[in-house]
Amino acid sequence: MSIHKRFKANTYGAAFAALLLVFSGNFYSCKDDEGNQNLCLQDYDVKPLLSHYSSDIIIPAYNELKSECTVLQAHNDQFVLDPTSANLDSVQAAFKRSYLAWQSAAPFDFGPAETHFLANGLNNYPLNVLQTRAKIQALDTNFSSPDEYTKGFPALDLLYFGLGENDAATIDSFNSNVNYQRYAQAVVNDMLQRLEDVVLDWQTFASEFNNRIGTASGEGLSLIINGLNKNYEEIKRNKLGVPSGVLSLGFTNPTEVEAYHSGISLELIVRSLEASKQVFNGKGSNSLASALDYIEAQKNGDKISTLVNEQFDLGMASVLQLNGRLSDLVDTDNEAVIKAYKDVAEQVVLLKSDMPSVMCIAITYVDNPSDSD
Amino acid sequence: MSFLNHIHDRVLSTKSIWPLVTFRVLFGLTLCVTSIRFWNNGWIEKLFIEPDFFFKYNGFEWVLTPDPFWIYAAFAGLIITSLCIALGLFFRPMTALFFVLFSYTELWDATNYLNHHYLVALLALLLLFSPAHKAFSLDALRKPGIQQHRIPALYIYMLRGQVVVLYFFAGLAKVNHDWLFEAMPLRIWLPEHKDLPLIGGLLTLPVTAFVFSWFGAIYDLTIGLWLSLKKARPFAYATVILFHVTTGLLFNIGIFPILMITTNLIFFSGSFHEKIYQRFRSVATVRTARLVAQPHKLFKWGLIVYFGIQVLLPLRHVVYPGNVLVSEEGYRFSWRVMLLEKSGLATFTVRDKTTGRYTEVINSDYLTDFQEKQMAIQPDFMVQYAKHLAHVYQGRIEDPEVTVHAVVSMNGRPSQRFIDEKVDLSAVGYSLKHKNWIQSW
Repeated sequence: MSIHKRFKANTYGAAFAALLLVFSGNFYSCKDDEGNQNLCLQDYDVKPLLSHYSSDIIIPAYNELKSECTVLQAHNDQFVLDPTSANLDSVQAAFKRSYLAWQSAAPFDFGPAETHFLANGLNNYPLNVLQTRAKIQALDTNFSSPDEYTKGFPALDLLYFGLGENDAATIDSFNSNVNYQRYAQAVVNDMLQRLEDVVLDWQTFASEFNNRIGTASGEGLSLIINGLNKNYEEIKRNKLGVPSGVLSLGFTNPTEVEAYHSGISLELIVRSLEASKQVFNGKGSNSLASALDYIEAQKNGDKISTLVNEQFDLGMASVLQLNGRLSDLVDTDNEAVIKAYKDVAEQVVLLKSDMPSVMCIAITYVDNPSDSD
Repeated sequence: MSFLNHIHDRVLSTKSIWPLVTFRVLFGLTLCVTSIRFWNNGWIEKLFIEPDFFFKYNGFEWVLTPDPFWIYAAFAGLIITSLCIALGLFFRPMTALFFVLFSYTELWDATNYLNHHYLVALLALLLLFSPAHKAFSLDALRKPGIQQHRIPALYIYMLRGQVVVLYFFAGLAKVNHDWLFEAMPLRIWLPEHKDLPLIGGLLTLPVTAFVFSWFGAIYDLTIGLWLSLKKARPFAYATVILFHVTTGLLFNIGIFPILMITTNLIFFSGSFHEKIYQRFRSVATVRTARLVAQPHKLFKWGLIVYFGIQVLLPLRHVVYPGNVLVSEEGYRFSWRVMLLEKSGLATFTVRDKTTGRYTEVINSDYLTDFQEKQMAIQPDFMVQYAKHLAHVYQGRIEDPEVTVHAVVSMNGRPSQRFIDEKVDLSAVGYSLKHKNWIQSW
């Protein structure tokens, strides 16, 4: 080795040693991690979990919703044909059951549901009343735009409950204007069509889904977690946040509750919280909760699965404290509504940040639009 | 001081111009393709036209994002100037213009900070002062008088020096607990490629992540040395290709692999490069051996300062308390690449201090998804955003106060709160001083 080369190597070595010393601080900074093992789901068998979700939770939720909507369609046909008080009662009851069933299917807005814009088709709320009335007037029953708020349950909510002061007024409207009848039928048919498409697609999608056992975004686990989170944020923001005014300087928005006319907003919230909890716990031992337990995921010494369930219960308890119509409560007892909002919101950190992080599921809710480094 | 004399003599000895010429041509071409790609992928629209609000670098708040026409004009300028660099046409003004335009586009939105874009700006700056156009260039064809085949070695060494700095500090940043002993975040990222042919299955094994982590750290720390040693060079360069092609395939890192594979050719000798140009005899002939102009004294001092800064910047994090990976104080311009799988949730509240009226903020009303994602992990962005929110709510609120509930989780850990929830971020000064409201752990 020539002198200058040895010199070069020596300088390099000295600089190397000195800087390495500086950076020994890098290790120090992690010492507070209290036994954090970064277990990930590396040796966890995801496949049974995915088949459990698809065959025991997702597909049954769609089937239930589909059968409720089929009943709804029958009752709607009957009411349209013969707008009596008894027939209105039964279509209203069928509407409520279907709307509740939707809450259990809402967390799975991926794959077929995404393809057929199921969520947009069934539950774009708050309803754009002006546009809906104009469409009824013109008998415009084109529901293909996902961004339109003129269809699905919110439209039926208006048609069955919101056309007048009371049921008699609703019956009058349906009797006197054939457009209401046609529009109601078109709305129900559109909903059922989407559902049939989704149910049919799941027959083939299921096996593909069950085999997406990886951890990248778009894999089965990431779809479930993403879906759960999207839906949970929806509960937090649209079902509770917007009406209570926490997102609008305290100015409440009573008419923006889900199911404003039928007034079943709170029942729907309860059902959607139950549904979220079920997505987390599954119906057995192959759930997100059991995956977290398998890797012994903890936060500040507590099991994350326990923390999540406690938070679900806390949120649920606060929502159950609310009695009556949510649209009234935001103006009469908004403090209680805001408390419920906060207790429900608290969960977001656990579901959206902690769970995917400790499972080492790619937390790419947002892909970089360009390159990264 | 034979030590310093030795260095001085070496950097002022003359060397063949050809490694520098190769660098100029490939750098120009790479950046030309990059600029076209950026345009073609619709990123101009997505990153610079869609957002309503832009994050800025400290001290460069005054650099505003211009109207769409000028945004596209700037990128057209990048395409043209980078092509001119490759061709060696009007070399100095074009390189200067490229450097200015490139830096300008980078300053529009700090959300888009990338270490390898920073590297491009630095390389362009160094290139600007070099005589890289004095051979195999249209300038030399136009004005044969400027042709020169020997140049002060300094111009080669400064580029090598930049590469060594980059690699070494990238390696040093990997010398940390997570990278070496948890194989994080590679243990999260590698299994995402389980469907790759042949190696896909291997990538899901934890041991693979450890091998990659350690190899990556050792590569980064020492590759500068191996490239500098003549005997090791061919093997080192083969490793360079292997390393960058692999990372290029596995990760979404854009032009970085090509930039490094081409730039590293600067380590090869003049005679190695000369062989390539022998086929272009007509362009490359120099009739007279002219006197080699020595670099200006100011330039030499400038380089010393430059490299002083290059060494100090990546180390500045030691003067900030807390973990740089969490606080990100001293994170940028430090060659910290691929270190973190990190995500945050930041919920802002704007409160009227007089009436107590408050509102939670829906971030997507003001930021793009990508901006929100970056903001939620970078405290200095939170300050800029809080100030923006205070501004937006002026009029609706008399005396706004903006606080944030922010958690961040990284490298497979549960999340942690990391910002003091009581601090009015719209009122804190925006400076390089430590932000004592960051609760780093």
